[in-house]
Amino acid sequence: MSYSDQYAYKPVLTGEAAALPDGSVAVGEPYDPEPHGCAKECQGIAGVLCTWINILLVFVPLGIYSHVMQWSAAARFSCNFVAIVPLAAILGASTESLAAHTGQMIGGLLNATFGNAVEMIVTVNAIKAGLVTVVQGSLLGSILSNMLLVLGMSFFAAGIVEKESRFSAKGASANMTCLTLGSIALALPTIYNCMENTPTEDVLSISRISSAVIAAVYVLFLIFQLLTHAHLFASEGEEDEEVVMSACSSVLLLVGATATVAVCSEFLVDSIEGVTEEYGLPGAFIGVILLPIVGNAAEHATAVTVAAKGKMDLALGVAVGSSTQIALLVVPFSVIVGWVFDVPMSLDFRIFDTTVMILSVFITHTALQDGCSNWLEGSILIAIYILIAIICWYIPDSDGAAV
Amino acid sequence: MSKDERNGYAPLQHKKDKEAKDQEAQKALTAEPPKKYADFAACCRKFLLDSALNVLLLTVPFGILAPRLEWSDQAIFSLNFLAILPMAKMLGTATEELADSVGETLGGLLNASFGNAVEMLLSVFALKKGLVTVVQGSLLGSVLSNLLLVLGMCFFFGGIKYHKQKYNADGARVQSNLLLLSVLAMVIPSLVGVVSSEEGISLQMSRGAAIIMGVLYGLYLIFQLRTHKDYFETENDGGEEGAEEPVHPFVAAVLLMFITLAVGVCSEGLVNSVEGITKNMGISEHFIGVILLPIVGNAAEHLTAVDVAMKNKMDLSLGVALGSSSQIALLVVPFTVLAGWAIGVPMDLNFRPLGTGILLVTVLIVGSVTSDGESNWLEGAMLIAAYIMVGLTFWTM
Repeated sequence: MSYSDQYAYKPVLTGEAAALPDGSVAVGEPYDPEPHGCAKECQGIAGVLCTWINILLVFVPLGIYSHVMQWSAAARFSCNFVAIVPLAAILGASTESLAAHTGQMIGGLLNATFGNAVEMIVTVNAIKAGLVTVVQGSLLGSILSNMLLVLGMSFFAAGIVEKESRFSAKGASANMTCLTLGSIALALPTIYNCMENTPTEDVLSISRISSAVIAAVYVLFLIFQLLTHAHLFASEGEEDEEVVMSACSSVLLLVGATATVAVCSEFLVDSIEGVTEEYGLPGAFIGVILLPIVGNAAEHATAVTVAAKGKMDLALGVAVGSSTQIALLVVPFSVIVGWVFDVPMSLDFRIFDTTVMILSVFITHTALQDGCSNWLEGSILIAIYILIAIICWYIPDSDGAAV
Repeated sequence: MSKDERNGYAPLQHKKDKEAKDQEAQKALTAEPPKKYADFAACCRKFLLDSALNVLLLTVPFGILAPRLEWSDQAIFSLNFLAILPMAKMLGTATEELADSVGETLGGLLNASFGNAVEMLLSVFALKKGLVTVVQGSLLGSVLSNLLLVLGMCFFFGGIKYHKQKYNADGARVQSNLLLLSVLAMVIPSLVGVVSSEEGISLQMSRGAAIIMGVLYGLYLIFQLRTHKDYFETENDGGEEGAEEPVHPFVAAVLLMFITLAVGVCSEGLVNSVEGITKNMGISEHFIGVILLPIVGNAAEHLTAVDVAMKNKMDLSLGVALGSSSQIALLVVPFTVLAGWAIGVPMDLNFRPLGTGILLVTVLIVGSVTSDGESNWLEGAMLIAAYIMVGLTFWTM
């Protein structure tokens, strides 16, 4: 535009119509101030809390009540199980909202910790109760459900919308390398235990030292992901997330949700033993399949919705990144917690668990190596998860597991 | 909306009329002649002379008669083996001809099911005789032969002619990925062996897995015939269509029926002689299942794939080899389990550690060899060598 054109422009007032130099007509929009201060806060919080899934929040007091009144194990299990689902969603939403304030780096770190807060809380409770096999099963199940089920459903959801979804293969493969490390860390103590003349106490010591090493690697991975090689993991065209709530209210919501989840999960773990007796559900099935789905509900929902919107890199970061977190952070954490409480929690998972883990890492790596996905790949991943779930159904409870 | 139009209306209408007349004249000139189908001579040419294998058709009557005449088991086995080879190829040709005439989706379905008719017939007859090991072996062997032998031969022979060949087209890449994932799905039921050693559980698990994989096959068909058709389109479709006259669908259908019948009879003879062979010639059941039987079902496609690779159409040959493997992993495998269920034979998918391990290593090898999108003759040689080693393993079992 020439100098004179610029000054020939008259500001368009509200409701007025004015002709622009190029012939089009502009109409001023009515004055609509953004809600400020309290109004905006309330709007933001309402946005997080008033979703359809939060109808299930009614199960929270119900769950607490059921534990206090000592209802049947099945009832306690169901109430608390359902109660955790909306809580997990709130947890996820408030974390993301906080991340919009603090930026990618710290937001990622927060997502890492709080996203798996449910995992860790359930783990601590279970270890205190001495349910080592349950913990091992549920950790394995979380890794599996993220790598196969969540990833598969994300691919499927994205594939329905778009023919082919591309993502950064390099970022994905960095995660897969970490997962391979995790698998090896699980495999070695298991193999050591299978060798003859190896005392069991040694396995415990090996596990504890390995956990320290793995946790250190995880810290390095965070530095890699958030500092030195962040560009590998950046999604293309990441728009600025709308700032929904202030940092303060995000933190409050986060803490509140976490505390409630802690309470409900304690009741949940309590009721597991009862359920396996009452309904005859195989213990391994509950531990490896059901519980992890609950614990991962938030990330699950996030990954699938984000994938359907076409942000496959983000969905991958959530799904595969979460597996990495669990394998390299939560597992060592649980071993160390076991050390503190003097519970024999080791990295010796059974042969089946180790084999499934290695196989799944291999499968996921195959699916991710080409950097693009379609709905059929998603279906195959989901089908493989279902097959593993079927095997878990048949695992006999008779191996002396503490379930 | 006014003067202009009204003024132009008369000439416009006149123009329209003229255009219509011109179009009709054009049509009359370029009109397709009424559809002519291939006559008898052309049919004979198409079916009998298009492949060198067809010389083996001479063995068909001998193969059918041999069990009746009570010749030795070795003779029955060899004759029927040689008899099925060319018939498999003819089956493929007949299916393609029929598929061309009935429209895309139905045609695709036809190709998908009849393409595996030989494997499925062999499996059913073997199951009826209770040769579960042989059937499991043949499933394993079909996948292995496609992944190692066919791929290896394509890379090798193509690599001799061309310095290096690229095959990074979307279709081949996606297909190889899907295949690898399907094979991995096939492996999962074997993990039951790690969990518990009861016979019944492995069977139940395999039957459940077969249902799920059958559903996956349905999804694969939707993927192939509807949503992602362009991945699977072969370049030949455009070119050859006009060149030859199509065979009349009725002829193709009748031919299909007869060939299937003949293949059925020969398969039965083949399978019935297996027991005799294992006892008399000392060839293990495993070797027959893993190495010999898959050759019968797949030889025709092997030759096509290698042939096309040497014409530097590596994507196409990959599509033939990999597509066939996917069919086996997702269709034939569940089919055999369900057929076993129907007959009452305990066919399960527990491939035991050896089979599972070999499958896994194969997927690993193929995955890493094909991931770079380029091939050369050495890669081909390595794949063939791997296949020979697998063969040796099963020979000594």
